[in-house]
Amino acid sequence: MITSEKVELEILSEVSKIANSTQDFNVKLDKIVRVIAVKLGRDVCYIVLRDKDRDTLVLKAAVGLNPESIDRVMLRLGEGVTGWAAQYNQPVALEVASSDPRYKLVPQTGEERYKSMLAVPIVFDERCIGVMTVQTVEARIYSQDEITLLTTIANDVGGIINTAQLYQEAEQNIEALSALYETSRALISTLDLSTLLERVARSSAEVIGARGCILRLINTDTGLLEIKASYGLPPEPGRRSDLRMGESIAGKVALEGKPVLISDAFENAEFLNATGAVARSLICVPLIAKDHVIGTIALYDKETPGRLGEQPFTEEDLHLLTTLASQASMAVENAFIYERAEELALQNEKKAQDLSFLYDIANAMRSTLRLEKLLHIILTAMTMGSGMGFNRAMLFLVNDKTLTLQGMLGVGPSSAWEAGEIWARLGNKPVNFRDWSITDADMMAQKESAFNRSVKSMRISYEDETSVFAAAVREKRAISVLDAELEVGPDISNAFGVREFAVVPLTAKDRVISLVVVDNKYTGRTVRHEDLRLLIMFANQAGLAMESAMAYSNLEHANRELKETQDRLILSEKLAALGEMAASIAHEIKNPLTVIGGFATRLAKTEGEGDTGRYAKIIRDEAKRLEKILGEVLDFSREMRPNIQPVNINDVLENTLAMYEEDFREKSLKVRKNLFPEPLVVMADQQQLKQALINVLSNSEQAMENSGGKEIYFRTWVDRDAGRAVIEVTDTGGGIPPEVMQNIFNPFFTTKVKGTGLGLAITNKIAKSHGGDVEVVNREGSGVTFRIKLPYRENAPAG
Amino acid sequence: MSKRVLVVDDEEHMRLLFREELVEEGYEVFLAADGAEAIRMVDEVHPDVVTLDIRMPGMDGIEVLRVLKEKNRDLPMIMCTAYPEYKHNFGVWASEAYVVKSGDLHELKDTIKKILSAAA
Repeated sequence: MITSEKVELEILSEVSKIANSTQDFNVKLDKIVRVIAVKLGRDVCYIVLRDKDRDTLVLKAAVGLNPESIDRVMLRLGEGVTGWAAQYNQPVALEVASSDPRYKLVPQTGEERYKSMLAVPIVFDERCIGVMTVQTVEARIYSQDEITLLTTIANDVGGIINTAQLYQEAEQNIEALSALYETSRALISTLDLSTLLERVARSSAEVIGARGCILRLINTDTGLLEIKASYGLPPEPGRRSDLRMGESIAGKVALEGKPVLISDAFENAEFLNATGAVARSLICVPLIAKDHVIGTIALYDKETPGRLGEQPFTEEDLHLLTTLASQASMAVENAFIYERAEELALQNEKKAQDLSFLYDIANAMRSTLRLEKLLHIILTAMTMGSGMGFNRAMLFLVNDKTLTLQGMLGVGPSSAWEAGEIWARLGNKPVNFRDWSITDADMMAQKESAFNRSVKSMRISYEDETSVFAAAVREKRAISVLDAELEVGPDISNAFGVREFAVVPLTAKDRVISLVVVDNKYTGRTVRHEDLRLLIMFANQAGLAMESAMAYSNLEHANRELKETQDRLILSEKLAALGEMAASIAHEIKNPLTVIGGFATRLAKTEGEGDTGRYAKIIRDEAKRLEKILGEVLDFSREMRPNIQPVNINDVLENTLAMYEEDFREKSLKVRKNLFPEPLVVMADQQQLKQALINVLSNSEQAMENSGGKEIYFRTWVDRDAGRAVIEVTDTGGGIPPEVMQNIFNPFFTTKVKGTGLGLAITNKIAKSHGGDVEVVNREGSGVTFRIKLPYRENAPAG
Repeated sequence: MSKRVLVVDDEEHMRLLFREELVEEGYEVFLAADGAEAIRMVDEVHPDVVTLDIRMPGMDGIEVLRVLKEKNRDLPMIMCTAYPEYKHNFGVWASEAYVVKSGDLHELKDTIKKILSAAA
């Protein structure tokens, strides 16, 4: 019998040799169990290693057991004899293992033919990292020496295993690092989001060794997690592609922002439900960019090349995936930004195009002030392929008095055939709008088209407030109609001949002046939102241009009228000048004629009946005749007679006061009035009456300025007994001194520095010439009341 | 004693005609060729009535009327002009009468007579 020490030395020497070899860890373990079995002369030797993260033991190497069971057989801590040894960190020696209550048969290993069993814990750093077990076919009693020997060997193996594991971990780390490096390189080499996501999915699966990968991103619009890339998984009809936040594993990961590791899918009901049990194990980590979860990445079913069977994912895998995910997140975020930047650039380009189009059209519109041409330009811009590209455009003038739309112009093909013709002709010939303006020939063709004629005959009422047209006018906004028959009724729908169209108001200074209807009758293309946006922008410009043209046309009209009036005026002015000249000549003639006539009369008188006397008489009579003619001419040229008419003296007073309003306000004079409640109608010359009143007012104003009085009182009333209508003015001008009082109506009597002194005299004369008079009530020291009294008959015809 | 009439007119022949006719009527007639002369002569000759042309170079008849009326309100003044339209001018309303000139001087003579008899 070999001494245990010798065997131990031999075994340890072999094990060391194996340990120091460059072989794979699994091969080393395999060789170690063979050496032990042979050297100790046992039928079976196997090693189970404890999973670092979980309380399970996995068969890693065996001799004498079914090789298929390696890496497949798993024991929980405490399960079976081996499990017990691991759990309690104690060797177990059994003569007949199957009779021990701890024994558990694992049929797939083929161990049922072995009777004895010695299991010793493999300890490293005072921690059980596995169990080494030997077995024999025969029942056998293991001595303490044998137990000690195997324990010693197990401890040595423990060191080897640890070193090997460390080595493997280091190797794995290098592998992971280089994978990360590769992944990073792959990631930064593309900014195309979908390519990038595919790469992330593939390289994650490859680096960690998973059968499949699913990458989901959160759609910020819908808040759903959408599958953006997958790898290695056939498209499963049963798999739901979009997950709500918190729904299933990925949803939960996205919601909580924490990684999840599931080793055994069959133990996780939630996972089963989510995947339809396509995978056994999975790891899922969030993609986080700038503290925000932007998606998840999940790996399914670990597959290590060169290894048999399925393995669960480990914490290392999870860690690696997390690292990958953070790299991927940054790359995804970058790609996002790039994509958005590209999108913005695209939008900007489109905007720049739109702007240059609007600019060119604005130029074209500016080129004319003719409303008709302008309308052609506007609608052509809407229908040209390189413009806004609508099939047809119709313009209606808004009449807000009758609440109707009047068809003005329609531009577009009249039939599908014509449309085809036009488009074929235009073909690849995009029109450059720079310096473009419509030609007269184009305008003529548009005007004579059947479509235009049909548009011009259209009258659409928008009295119905709920109608699309009324809404467009009222709310000044564009409206898309998707079902014409439903929304505008069969009449208009038939007239337009389309199902889908858009109404856009042309506004100027916040007023809708016309409505444009555009459609895509022949291409049948939906009126797209962005087309409408450009159209709306254009509509503002077009509205303003139309307004200018309309204003210009009005101005032209007004100008024409003005010119005609002016011509008429010039003519009448000429006539007037002629009349004036005639009058002035007549006057010049009149004086000499007077002298001639006068002396002829004298001669005729003194010369008696002689020839001289007779001749003198002839001269006198002819001069008289001439005088008469001249008188008629002068009477005709200057009508200066008083114009007596029915006049309401209340009106005369109000009109006169209106002239003084400003003046009184400046002088802070307070005006009080008490007018006769009905029209006080007298027969008078309104101008003269006004003059009479002005003279009184000027006098009072002057007096108050001297005295400092601030109040003036007006009254109109009827003195029935005397048959007089009375205008009464009372001032606070200090009254009239007695020596002045008797002279106030005398012409040229004045106490004023300025003025002729004729004022009150004229008032008096006017009153008298109207058959009335002026009464003065003087209150010395306070003021004066003037009463202009005019003949008044009750029930006189109102003027 | 015969009444004194001052004729104010810028035209010599007109003055001559007026003088011949009015002297014949028995008046003592004085002539002034413009407003300034008229104002001076009123103080010198103290006329009983003045006939005043309106359109004259320098002061026009309406200004002369104002000045003379300010001097002596009681001196009757007859506006005597070829222009009927001054009748409606407020300026002449201070005068006692308005006569449109004519080869037939009856109206003027009648007016002078009426005014002088009223003043008497």
